[in-house]
Amino acid sequence: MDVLETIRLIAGLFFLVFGVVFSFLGVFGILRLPDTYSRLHASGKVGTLGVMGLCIGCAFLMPGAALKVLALSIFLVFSGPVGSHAIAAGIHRAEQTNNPHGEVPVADTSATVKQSSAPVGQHNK
Amino acid sequence: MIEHEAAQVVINISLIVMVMLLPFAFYRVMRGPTAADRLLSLEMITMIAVGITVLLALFEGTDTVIDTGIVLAALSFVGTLAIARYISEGRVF
Repeated sequence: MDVLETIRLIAGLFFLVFGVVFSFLGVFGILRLPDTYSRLHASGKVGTLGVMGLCIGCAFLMPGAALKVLALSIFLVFSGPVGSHAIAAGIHRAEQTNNPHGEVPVADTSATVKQSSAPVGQHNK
Repeated sequence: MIEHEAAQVVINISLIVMVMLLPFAFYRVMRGPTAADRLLSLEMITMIAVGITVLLALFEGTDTVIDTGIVLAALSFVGTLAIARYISEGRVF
């Protein structure tokens, strides 16, 4: 195995581990963060950074699939932030107009460390 | 199929970790306080499934599995926009 193959292998495995770590951090954040907006921040990382890392790793390790993986990651770059912004704007607009279909984002008090902190978002009720 | 042994070990461990993340994300779908929590958790589950398809393509050595991931990402995007509009406006169309 020559040097170039070794570099390709190490880069591919590094990006695979990068993607898995970001996916793990996204799920950890969605379990532990106290607010809906904060959870939205955590879940946006999985779609872009996590899957993008896996895609780059796959392109390094399997160069025959690089075109499909490139198409997938270009689509993810455009669709992920648009979806996250749609959710955030939807929550915000429902909060502004007191829409009965979209509830006001309340804090999940079981996820917070201190129980004494006031829940976020209940001033609208 | 990647012949190197360390690559096989890393791909297997990554696949196991990504699959084990799914029930933890589904916990937030079951007990999200609002509808938006459930929506964003479902979107995140779909993204993890797309990552699993990419890892499966590496595991099997074929690139046909990635097509499933592309279709899954596209359908998830449309569904997310529709449900976000339902949350904000109270109706989809």
